[in-house]
Amino acid sequence: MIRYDSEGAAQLRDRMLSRVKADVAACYQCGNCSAGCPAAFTFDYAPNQIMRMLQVGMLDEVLASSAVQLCVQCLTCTSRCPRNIDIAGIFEDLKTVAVAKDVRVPEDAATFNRVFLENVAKYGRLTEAMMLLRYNLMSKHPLNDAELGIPMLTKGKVEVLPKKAAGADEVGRIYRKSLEKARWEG
Amino acid sequence: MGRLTYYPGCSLRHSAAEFDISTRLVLHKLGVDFVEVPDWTCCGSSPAHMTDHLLAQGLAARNLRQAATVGDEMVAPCPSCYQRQKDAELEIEEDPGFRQTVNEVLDLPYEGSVRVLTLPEVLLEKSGVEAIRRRVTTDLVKLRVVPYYGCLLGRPSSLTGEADEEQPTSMDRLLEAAGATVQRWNYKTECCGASVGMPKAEIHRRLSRKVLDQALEAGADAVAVACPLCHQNLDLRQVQINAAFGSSYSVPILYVTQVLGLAFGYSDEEMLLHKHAVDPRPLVAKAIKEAVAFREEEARLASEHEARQKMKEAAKQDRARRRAGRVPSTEEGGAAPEEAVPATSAHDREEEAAG
Amino acid sequence: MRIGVFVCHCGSNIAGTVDCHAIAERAAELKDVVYTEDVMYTCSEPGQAGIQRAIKEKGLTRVVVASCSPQMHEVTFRRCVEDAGLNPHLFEMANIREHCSWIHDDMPRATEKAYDIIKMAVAKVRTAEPLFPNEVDVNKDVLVIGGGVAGIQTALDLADAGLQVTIVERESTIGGTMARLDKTFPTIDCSACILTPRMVDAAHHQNIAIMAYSEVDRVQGYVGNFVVDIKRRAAMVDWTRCIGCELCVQKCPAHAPDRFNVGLAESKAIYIPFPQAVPKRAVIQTEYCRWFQQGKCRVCSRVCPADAIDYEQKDTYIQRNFGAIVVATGMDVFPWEEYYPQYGGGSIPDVISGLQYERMLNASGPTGGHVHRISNHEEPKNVVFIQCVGSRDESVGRPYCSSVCCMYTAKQAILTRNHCGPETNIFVFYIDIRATGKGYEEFIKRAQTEFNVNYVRGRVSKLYEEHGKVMVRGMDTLLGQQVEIPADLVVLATGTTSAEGAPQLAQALNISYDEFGFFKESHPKLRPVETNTAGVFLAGACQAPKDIPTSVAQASGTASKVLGLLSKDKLKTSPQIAVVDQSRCVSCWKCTDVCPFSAPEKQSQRDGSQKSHIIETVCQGCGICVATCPVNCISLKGFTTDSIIDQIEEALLA
Repeated sequence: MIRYDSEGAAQLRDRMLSRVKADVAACYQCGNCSAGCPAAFTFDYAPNQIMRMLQVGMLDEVLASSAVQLCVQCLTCTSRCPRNIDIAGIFEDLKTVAVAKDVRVPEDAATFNRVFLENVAKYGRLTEAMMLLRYNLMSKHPLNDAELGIPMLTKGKVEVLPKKAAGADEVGRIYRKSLEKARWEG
Repeated sequence: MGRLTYYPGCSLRHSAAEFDISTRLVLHKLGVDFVEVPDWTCCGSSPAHMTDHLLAQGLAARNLRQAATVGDEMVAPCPSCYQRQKDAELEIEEDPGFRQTVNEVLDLPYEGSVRVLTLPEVLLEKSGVEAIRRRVTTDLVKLRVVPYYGCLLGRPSSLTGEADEEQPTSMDRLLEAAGATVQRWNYKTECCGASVGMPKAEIHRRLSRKVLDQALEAGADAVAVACPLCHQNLDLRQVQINAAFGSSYSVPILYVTQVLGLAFGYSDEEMLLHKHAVDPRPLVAKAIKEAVAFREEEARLASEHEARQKMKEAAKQDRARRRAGRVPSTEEGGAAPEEAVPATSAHDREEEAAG
Repeated sequence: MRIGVFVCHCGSNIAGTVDCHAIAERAAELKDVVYTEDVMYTCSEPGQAGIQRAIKEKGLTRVVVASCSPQMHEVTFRRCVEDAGLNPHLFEMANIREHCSWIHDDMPRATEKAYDIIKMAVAKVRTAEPLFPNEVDVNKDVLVIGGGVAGIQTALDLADAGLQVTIVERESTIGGTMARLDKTFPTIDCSACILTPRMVDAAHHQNIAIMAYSEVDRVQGYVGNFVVDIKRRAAMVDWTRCIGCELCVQKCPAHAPDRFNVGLAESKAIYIPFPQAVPKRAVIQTEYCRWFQQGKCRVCSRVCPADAIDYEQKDTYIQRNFGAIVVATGMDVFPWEEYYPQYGGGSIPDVISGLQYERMLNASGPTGGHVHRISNHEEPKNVVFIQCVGSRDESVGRPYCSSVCCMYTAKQAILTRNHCGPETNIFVFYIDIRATGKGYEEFIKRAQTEFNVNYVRGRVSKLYEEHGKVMVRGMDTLLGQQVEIPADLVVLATGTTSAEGAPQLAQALNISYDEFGFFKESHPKLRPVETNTAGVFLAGACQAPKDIPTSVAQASGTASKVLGLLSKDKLKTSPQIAVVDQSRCVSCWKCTDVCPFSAPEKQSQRDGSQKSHIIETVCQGCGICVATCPVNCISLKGFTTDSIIDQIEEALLA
């Protein structure tokens, strides 16, 4: 059983309105977002349930959900929502909120994002092989996709020796400055 | 400076080199002038906008600024690069305050105004269906393809310029102009699993499998894509799909620019077809061969038909000449029978009588 | 001059934002104001009695009520002061609700504004003059536009009461949407069995004239005296000769899509929509006719035993006079194909609209009442209904509830069970069930229990073809699970939309319509069948989506309103009309050009010149001529230029 926190819910609604220009209160729970979601079969909560949780202000539970991390950002939900709510925009924003609040999140999606961005921050352009190697180590699946290594190498699809791009230093600074500014009031 | 700039993006440098090369060759063939964005860096892709909004827009804005030094338009073949940079373009144009915020994280401010375009947009706007059609030298009518737009080439239509985000048509028009046979199907804009497929393999396995399945159901021999990530999930990972589901898919996945290039007469090598995990070369060779045979048969039937028509015409004239010898009776053809008669026959009779 | 000012609280509607007591006290300081009072509800019986008492006891000669809009209560208060012996035009309303309290939230500033509005009203009433109405004769004939069930009901009620009624129907037969339905909820009685007798009644009624295949072209005049131009569309068939034998239809070689059966069958270029059509007369659809398109054929003309075919027929125009007009133009089915590409946009044959399924269920429909798949004519194993297609969906610009789909879906699900037997699986995807009518909720329960219809709470995101089935990708929100159903037939509970051409008709009639093309009633609760144009009434779904019981009930309500209006032999006209100061008229005749009612006439003077003169009984007081007159020689009684300038001055003076 839960007790509704009306004040917290109202606050969360206002934040979503200002950050994403999406009104969670407009959701009438038709379930269209969930019906069309290609990744929902791996979620702990269906998208419409996440919307409901946001309506009643359950932000902590939402941030800790796998649903937010595993959303593929295909925008299908947004494009078909009968109440014109930018659901994908809400999910995108929630991912960034989890980063800003430094919440422990399930699944390795956030790890992947971090490894990817740190690679970019270092080299300026993504060096795919280095990034994958590092991600596999971080996510403790060292042999993930190992079977793809040979074809990728033989087909000349990987850059074996990464180089720093000309703008790499600026990219590093953009990365650090932005994340310093990242915030979620309260 | 009114010039089109070209932003290849990280994937096109290596894992999707064939997309890069085929795009450059096709643009060149169509006479579309472009210059590479100087010292471009990563657009941030999905990880950036899933991590922080300002980071995402900052990384994209840096590239816009670099592009602005040499041009005022930017084409990014990779839809993810396109969306990141388009999104930044629109937000910065609409909100001067946000431009300032973004400029605070850049070394040098972005003050310009660069319009970001999708690759299909550039091909259709700067060249067009007719120009493409004129340059076709290899007949691909026997290459049955389905255009796969994925998520970001169609959605949201406010960004991509597609009139209908559920039924985008830009790739259809390009492929048809190239002479390929485009099959109607239901999975144009379904997701392949994208990069979340990395940490959660079952997502891309299930989704990509469904895409392959639907392509075959639609009667296609190959899937045409315009996204390096879609290509990776459908082509490189096809072997993983087969392993996971015990299936035996062997569906070639072609970049739309490769299809255009082949139609323009570029060779398999020039289009780097050998770089694909599922080798498309046998299919392409077969399709080209079948097309030649098909056209020969078509020509033969056409000439036969023409000959028959000529004979018919001659016979008709002959009949008319013989009739003219007699006095034509108005009664004969003009009198309509009492009961209903199909109109055409009555009319034909009138015509004959008149002739 | 003794003016009284009454400031209304309207409960908290005004008093919540405006300090009514304070402004009532301040208003006492205005010139000529001898009495002020703030009242909780001025329009209530004690409120009105208070005004009347003050008129008598304080000797008031003019009255200002500061409350709501004149639209709302001007008539109420004019009658109130008239009963107390004042001329009703010595009364003025200050609108401090719609123009002030409802749109502001800062109390001190709103109070200040309300006071300004009252000052202006006092300034206006100061120069007011007593006005006296004229009387005009009333034409007692009624025009009913639209021959659906609502139009038929209104026409029959009026005709039974002795009025002459003309029904103008755009299609070649009356009957409207109801004629295409198979059964009706919640009784499952046959739609045609109820409707067609009424259609025949209308056709045979000596007081009813039906003009089918006709449209209203132009409306002039005013309540009691409308002048209407009606266009009779060329049917290419002489209806005075046509006997409806259908021989032409049988022999016509040209095929055309069957609009009555919503494209589920083909009709002929010459056609009669359905066997019970009233009038049963043939029409040539020239866009499909071989004679009109290719210049050959003429089969119909040869087979017609009545010699009724007339290829040279042209549209004709008829002018008629009416005292009242009832608009009953109904609704259309939402064109889902254009808006739902995710449901195949019409390209998947086994995905059909609710109205198409209605025709399929009908015994005299294109399948003879057999439910089968469009693609292969097999009986369906899985039938899926999807509700709210084109309703409650802002992504397709239709935020409103169509109000009939929940119920017709339940009906169709029940009929599906009857037609297909127990082994067919029936699913209904719904968001909410709206079953508010008499016996409706019970009907839904029967569908769920007696007829074993599986209600799934959730919406369907996509439909696509796979292995010969229509894959339905939906959500069961109560389970929190995505669901996939390989369906054989998918029926969309297509919503309703306003009738084609509704905005154009509204403009011709000078009535309001909403953003979706539905006509606006004068007041949703108090004047639900009237429009803001006197003498023009609404019936049925042209006002908002409605089911049959509601449409018919409203149609009878409308008839009683029309009867009330036309029970008088003469109508009082508003005395607020234009007058010409002929000494200043320069005979430019701009007034005659702009007047929508042809009220100004050229009046010969003794010196032989002609000057403008307004015919009192024709003028509606719209003021266009006043604004147009280049020498300002026309003024509007009750709205004189002087009184308006007085108000402006009052507003500008601090």
